[in-house]
Amino acid sequence: MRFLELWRISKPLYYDLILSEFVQRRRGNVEEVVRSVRINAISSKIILTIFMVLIGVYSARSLIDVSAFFLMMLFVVSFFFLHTMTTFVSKGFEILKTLPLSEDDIAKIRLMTLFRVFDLPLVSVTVSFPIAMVWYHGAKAFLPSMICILSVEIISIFLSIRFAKFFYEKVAYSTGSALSIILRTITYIAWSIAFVGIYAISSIFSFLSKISGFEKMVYEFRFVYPFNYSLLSSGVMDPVALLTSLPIFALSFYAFRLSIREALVESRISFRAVRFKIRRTNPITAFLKKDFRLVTRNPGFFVIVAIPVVEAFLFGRIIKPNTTFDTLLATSIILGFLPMIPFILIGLESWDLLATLPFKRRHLRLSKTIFGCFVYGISALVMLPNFVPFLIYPAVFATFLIGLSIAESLGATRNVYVGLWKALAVIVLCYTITFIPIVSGIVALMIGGNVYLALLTPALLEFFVSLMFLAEG
Amino acid sequence: MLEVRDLRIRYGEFEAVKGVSFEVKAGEIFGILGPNGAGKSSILKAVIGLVEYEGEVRLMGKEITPEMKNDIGFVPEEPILIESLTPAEFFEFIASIRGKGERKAEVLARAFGLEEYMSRPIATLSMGNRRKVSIVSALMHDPKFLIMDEPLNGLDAKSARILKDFMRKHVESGGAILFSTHIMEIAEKMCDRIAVINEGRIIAMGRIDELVKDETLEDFFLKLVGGEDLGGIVDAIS
Repeated sequence: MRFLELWRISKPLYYDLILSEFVQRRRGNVEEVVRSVRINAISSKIILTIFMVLIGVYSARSLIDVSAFFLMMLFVVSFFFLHTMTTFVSKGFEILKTLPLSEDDIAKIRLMTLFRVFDLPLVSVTVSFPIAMVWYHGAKAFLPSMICILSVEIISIFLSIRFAKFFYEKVAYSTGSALSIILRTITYIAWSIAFVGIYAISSIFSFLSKISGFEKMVYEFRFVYPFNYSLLSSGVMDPVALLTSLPIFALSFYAFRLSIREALVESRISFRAVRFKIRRTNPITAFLKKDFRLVTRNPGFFVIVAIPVVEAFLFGRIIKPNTTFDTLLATSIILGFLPMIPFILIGLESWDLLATLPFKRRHLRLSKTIFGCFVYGISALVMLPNFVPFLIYPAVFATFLIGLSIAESLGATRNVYVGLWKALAVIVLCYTITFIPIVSGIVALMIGGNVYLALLTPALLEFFVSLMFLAEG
Repeated sequence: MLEVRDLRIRYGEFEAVKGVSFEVKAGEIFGILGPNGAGKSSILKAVIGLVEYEGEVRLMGKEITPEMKNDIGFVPEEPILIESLTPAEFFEFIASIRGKGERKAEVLARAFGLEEYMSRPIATLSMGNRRKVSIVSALMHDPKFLIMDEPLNGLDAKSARILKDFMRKHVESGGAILFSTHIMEIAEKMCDRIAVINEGRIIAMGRIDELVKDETLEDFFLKLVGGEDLGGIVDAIS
C-alpha cells in the first residue's frame, strides 16, 4: 500500500489514542470530550512546538544555551507525551487486523500513529534548530546540528516508549497491596522532582551563559553529553567531543531499531488471582480512597495535584526564604494553584455513577476538602521549620469547603464547561478567602504589628464560618 | 411499585420520549421493547435520574429522592464504572456509599466468576466482565426494584442463566424489574408484561399472551414497528 494511504489510515488511530484515556475518565460526558479533544490535542501540540522552536532558535546563539537546549529536548520529548504513549503501548489496534491490510502495512501504520504523537514539534525543531545554528555559527554547523538533534530525538522517543511501558506494566496499573501504592507514589514523586531538577539545571545553564567566562565550561566538559553535542552542533570538530559523541550516535541507531521493535509490540500486564475481601468504610473515606487511587494511577493527574508540593520544594527548599515577607510570598505561590485541586477532583467524578447512588453532597465536599488540605499539609511540611504556612491552614480548609459549596449551589461543580461566569465567580471567591490572611499578614508586617496573629485570626474566623457549610446536604 | 405518568424527555430540540405512561407492579418483570433509538434507554435513565424529564415518576408511591436510591439497582446498557479501580475497589466504594452490600458483593462476584479479575483495573477487563461488574454493583445491596437495560448483552451462557434465574427469583420474592431489550426471544421468556415503544410513544402494552395471538412475539413486534416485509431487504443484501 502507498505511503500516503497508510499515513491517512494512521490519522483516526492517533485520534482514537488521545481520545481513549479521556473517554475512560469521563464516560458520562463523551460527546463534549469528542468535540473538544481534537482541538485540545492540536492546540497543545502547537503550543509545545512554538515553545520548543523558540527555545531552540534562542539557544543557538551561545554554546552553553545549546547544551541546556539539548538537555531540555531529551527530557521534554521523553516525558511530555507519557500519558498518550502509555495508551499507545497498551493498544492493540485490533481494528486494523479486520481490514484487508498486510502485516507489513499494519506495522507501518502503527509506527506512523506513533510518529503522529510527536510529528509537529519534532519536525519543526529538526528544521528550525539547524537553520538557527547556521545563522549564528555559519554553514558548517548545518549538518552536524541536524545529526545531533535527530540523534537526541530518536533517543528521547525510545526513552518515551520505555518509560510508557514501565508505567503501564509496573506503575499505573499495579494494584492490590499498600506496598504497590507506596511504590507508585514514590515513582511519581521521583518523576516530578526529576522534572523540576532538569528544568532547574537548564535554567542554571541559561543563567550561567549570562556570566562571562562560563561559555568555556562547554569546552571543559566537552567529554560528556550535552556539552559534546553542543560543541559539535556549532561545527567545531573537536576530537574529544567527536570521540565521546560516537557512542551516543551508535546508541541512536540502536535506539531507532529498538524503538521500531518496541513500538510494534503492545504491552501486556499479567495479574495473578488474589483472595479478595471487600471492606466497607464510611463514605468520606471511600471518596478519599477512590480519589487517591485515581490520582496515583495517572501520572498526568499526579503531577497536577503535586504542583503545590513541587512549588514548596522550589520556593521553600531550593530558594530558601530569608524573611517573613519572603515566606508569605512563597506561601502565596503555593496557594495560587491550590484552590484548583478540589475542583479538578470534582471534575474527575463519575457523575452518572453518583446519580445512581444515595450519596450525600456534604460527604463529597468534605472528602475533596480533606484531600486538598492533605496536599497543602505536605507542602507546609516541606517548608518546615518555617511555621508560617501552618498558620494559614484553617483558611485553606475554609477555601475548599466554602468554594465547593458555593460552586455546587451555582451548579458549577458537575459540569465545568457550563457557566463560565459562575466558574469565574467561584474562583474569585476562593482566592479572596485564601488571600485575606496573607494580605492581613503583609499589612501587619508593614505597620509593625504581630504578623502571626494577623495571619491566624482571619484564618480561624474563615474556618469557623466554613463549618456552617458542613451542615447542608 | 413504579408509576410513570406522561413522561417526556428532550435532548435539545429533539423529543426522544413523548408522553409515556406505564406501571410496574411488585412481583413482575415489565419489558420495554422497541427498535434502536425508540427511547427505551432514555425512559430507564429518567427513572434512575440520569436524564432530565417532564412528567411524574414515583416509586412505592413517592417521588424518587437520593435516599431512595438504595431501593433501586440499575444495570445500564453501557456499564458506568470507574475504570482505574479494580472490581474489588469498585465494590468497596459502592458498598461504602450505600452503607451495605459488601458480603453480597463477594458472593455475587464468585457466582459470576469474577474472582480472578478482582485485582485487575476495570479498564483492562473484557466487555463481558465489565458487564458482570456492573451487574454485581447493581445487585449487591439487595434492591427491591431493578432497572436493567439490555443486561444479558455480552454475558457468557452460564452467567446469563444465573442472571435470568436470579431475576425470576427476585420478582417471586416481591421485587419488581423494569427491563429493556430488543431481543424478542428473551422478552418472550422473561417478561410478564411488555410495552412496545416506537419513536418515543407506547404503541402496545399488556401481557404477551393477550397481545400475541397466533404469531410469534417477533412477528407481532415487526408488524407494529413497520418491519414485517423484510424479504426484499434480505434479497438485496444477499
